[in-house]
Amino acid sequence: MKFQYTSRGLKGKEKLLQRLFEIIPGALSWVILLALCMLSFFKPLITAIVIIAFDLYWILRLFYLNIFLILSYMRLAIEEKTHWIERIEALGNSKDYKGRYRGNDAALSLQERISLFIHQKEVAALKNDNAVPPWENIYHLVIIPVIKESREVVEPGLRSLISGSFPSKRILVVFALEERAQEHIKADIRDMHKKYKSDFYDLLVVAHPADLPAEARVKGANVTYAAQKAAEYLNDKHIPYENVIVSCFDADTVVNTEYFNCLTYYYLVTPQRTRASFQPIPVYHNNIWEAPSFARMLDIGSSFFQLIEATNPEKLVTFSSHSMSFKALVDIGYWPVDIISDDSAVFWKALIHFDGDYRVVPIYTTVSMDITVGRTRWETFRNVYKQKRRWAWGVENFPIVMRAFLKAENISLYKRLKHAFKLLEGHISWATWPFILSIIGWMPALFAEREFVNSIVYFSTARIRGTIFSLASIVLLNCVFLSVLLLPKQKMRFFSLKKLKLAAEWVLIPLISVFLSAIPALDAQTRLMLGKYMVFWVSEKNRKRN
Amino acid sequence: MQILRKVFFYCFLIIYLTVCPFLVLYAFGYIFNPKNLKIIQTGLLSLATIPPHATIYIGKSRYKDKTPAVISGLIPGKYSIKLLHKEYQPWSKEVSIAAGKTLLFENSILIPWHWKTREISARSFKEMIPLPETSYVLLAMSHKLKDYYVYDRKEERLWPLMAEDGSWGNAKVLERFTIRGAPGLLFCLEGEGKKRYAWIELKERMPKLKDMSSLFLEEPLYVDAPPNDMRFLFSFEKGYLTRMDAIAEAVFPKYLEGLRGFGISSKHLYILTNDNTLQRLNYDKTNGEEIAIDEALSKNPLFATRNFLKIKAFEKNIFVFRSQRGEFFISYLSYVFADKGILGVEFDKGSKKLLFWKKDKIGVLDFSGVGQESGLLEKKPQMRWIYANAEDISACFWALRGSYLIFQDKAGVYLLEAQGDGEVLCTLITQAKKDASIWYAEDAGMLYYLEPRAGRLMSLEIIPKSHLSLLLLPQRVTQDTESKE
Repeated sequence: MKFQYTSRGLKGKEKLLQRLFEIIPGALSWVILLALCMLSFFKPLITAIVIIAFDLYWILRLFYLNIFLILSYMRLAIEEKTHWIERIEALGNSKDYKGRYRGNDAALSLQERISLFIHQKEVAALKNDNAVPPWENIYHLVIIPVIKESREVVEPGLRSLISGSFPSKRILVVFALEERAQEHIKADIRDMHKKYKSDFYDLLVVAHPADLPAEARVKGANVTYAAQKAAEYLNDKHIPYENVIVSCFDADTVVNTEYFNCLTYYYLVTPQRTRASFQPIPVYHNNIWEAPSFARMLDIGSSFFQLIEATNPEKLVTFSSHSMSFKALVDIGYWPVDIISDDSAVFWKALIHFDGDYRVVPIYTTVSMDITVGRTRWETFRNVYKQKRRWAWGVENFPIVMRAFLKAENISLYKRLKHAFKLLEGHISWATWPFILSIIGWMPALFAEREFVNSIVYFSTARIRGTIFSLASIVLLNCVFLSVLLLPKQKMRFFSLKKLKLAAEWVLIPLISVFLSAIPALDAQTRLMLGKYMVFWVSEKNRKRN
Repeated sequence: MQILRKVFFYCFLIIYLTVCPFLVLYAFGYIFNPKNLKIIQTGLLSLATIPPHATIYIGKSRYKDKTPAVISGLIPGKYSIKLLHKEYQPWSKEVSIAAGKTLLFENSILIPWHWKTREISARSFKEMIPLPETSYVLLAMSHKLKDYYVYDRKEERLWPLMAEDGSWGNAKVLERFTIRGAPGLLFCLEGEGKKRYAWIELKERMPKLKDMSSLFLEEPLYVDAPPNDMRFLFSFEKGYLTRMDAIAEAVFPKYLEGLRGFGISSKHLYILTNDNTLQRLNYDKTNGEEIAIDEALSKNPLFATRNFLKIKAFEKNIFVFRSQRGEFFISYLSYVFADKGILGVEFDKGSKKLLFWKKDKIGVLDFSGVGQESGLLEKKPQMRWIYANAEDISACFWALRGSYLIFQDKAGVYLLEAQGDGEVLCTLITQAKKDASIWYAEDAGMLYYLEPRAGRLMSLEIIPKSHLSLLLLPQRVTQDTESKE
């Protein structure tokens, strides 16, 4: 479907619809919060019952998600030892390949057996799609946007591309450099270009002119400009777009050594591979021990969220660093150039463009990024708040997606409803749940009049909530355990003590979830509701110089 | 994984849809009774004691937890509850548990076998005059001013009211007018053949005495003032209010006229005009605001008589009017609660309960549900006579945030439990000098009284100090007993 994925330059009915859908998420969040507050004062009994029903829903959902967090982590751990390159080579070598790449099954460990079982299923799914391109023809295009990230931030990522097990000579790297970047940043990029050019298929530096027509000062505009230049380069080299996988990374993204092998494998075994994005698991390990605890906990939470989401590909949306077919990217007209949350917007744009025939494939490998930090704790707090608000600004996709869905008759109604509900519900729960759980849930008891105090509900609500929160601690313990397991295996002083500290930091979750999750989300939704649109804020990423 | 997600999703959905209604029913106290295979609504009992860790017996069964405890799942009916704690007398009560309701015993004082008492002074006093909302109590050995003493319970110091005898010291005390919260009081004295008025501030060594005789043009019926502003001392005479400024030594006769009542509460002056209009004003007569009184009250024959009425505003909408005969009216249905003989009232802000007492009985008006809707009508205050077997009640106080009452009946001082419904536990605490008054300081959990034989000043610990901080005391209590002694 042809659709201008933008909120700008709309007229008439479109403008009205856009505004209406901009108001809905914020208004709903505020109505939920205020209605519960008012009810707590005037009808505490009703509120207590609503809170009990909500708490039960919350704890069941917590357990439900926790099951998939464990399964997803297990899958990640299983695939950690997978020899992706062997699988890729085996895929290309035999037409009747059945997914076996090792001789004796009996010699395999349980992990390998599970991995093999999944691999065989993936290969079996390919049987109707014979056109698996030879992996030797696959190229990777990596776009790294840079505006104020210093060499200390960018270089480790670049080196990770070289040190990975995928041949770096088949990786084309493009530095998407903002022309308005400071001179020392440009000098760093020039130095790195000179130093690493020969390690890659090529290393391009594309300077994105400031304030091009129809563009906003967003990352999407920068990477789109770089991708367009890369397309010209690929044309010159006669490399077909369908043989190119583009990865749009953050400047600080450090990939796992097996990342490109794993990505190539999934690209090859995915039927209709040019209609899919590939989502790795983001972890925030680059500076995990330098960041204050609250910032660390939040980003561990983000990793967990993505791990859970990875188990639900039907509703998975691209997030942060991700990859996709370059052909699909060109077909949809690249990333939106006026949207702040370009990472998720590119998925919605593709879904609408391909009439619903687009999906995100989770890939069980990691990309590591920086936790946002500042020079002081307070500055870190502010930066984290701004970063989370920017993430929550992803709600800007809702009105655009809804406008598109109203017209998208080629997408089934079920699919439209499913996606719209998930998008709206995700943002509403983000902004409201921590408030309900931490504050509003206790309000009926705090403001109770004698009439309510004398009712049995007053006491039983506190008891039921107490039991539910005790059960939640089981989930919390599991999260503590997984967060320690997910840590990078590295040799450092006092590592065990640091792990203990990390485990203890989980007690901060109720506070963090209100101040650095719910409030930024409500802030973003309120701004959208009031038409006070945000401008792109680049996360501060500082690294200690070695 | 996708299939697994769906399987788990539907499993959890079924769990939610099944458990949620049961959980809500449980919250309302509904349980399944296996005896008659029926679902019944239960009640709940909340027990907390001072001191805690008392063993609980329900009937003959010992409950698994000690106090404080919340006992749920009680089938409606009568239960015999017993609390046992070493060094304390057993606490037992028959309670009625109602379906869906909670019976609260939040601050049950366990009575020790021996109360902890202390002699403060060996002097022989005849009378004790507490100064409400201060830490002072005045103690009189005779009618002469020089025989008056001051005790400051916070400093734990006792000193004579007058540093030197002089002409004032030998004067005879005719009347005393206490002002709520003021660190002093007004005396009407007789000495050297004439009647004199003096304001005395209760300072150790340097008592500040101010001769106010020239400001009193007539004999006052009632005197009131803000706690710390002697520019606004009001006296009510024959239908009008006189203002006295003790700082400037000025008097403003007939400051307000055509009145039949007045009072000072919450930094405002309240007046009731002869046409039964209630007004709230600043002390300087500015910002006058009329407060509507229900017509049914203003036309009530008892209220409509021309008797002087003392006004007390306890909350924004709770007004109490008292006549000198002890008639007692409130601004809520059913307006008149006693037609005569009310000796004092005391309001507890925390529990929103108003205590009032006559010579022989004690009543409580519960305003806690007022303002909430009950069907089509707004709820009215709940009134009950909580104790009716007294002979001569002379003082009464709220204790423990409205959970208890302490009162003096003739020479006996009693602790009366005012929480829960039904049976009321009344315990004799000690014997005190008859007609000498007692004083209970809520923030200290301490009772002060005069020992009956020799009149020595004694203290008795009602709440152990170690528990006071846990009780979030004091809730401000507004007392209104007769200020004219």
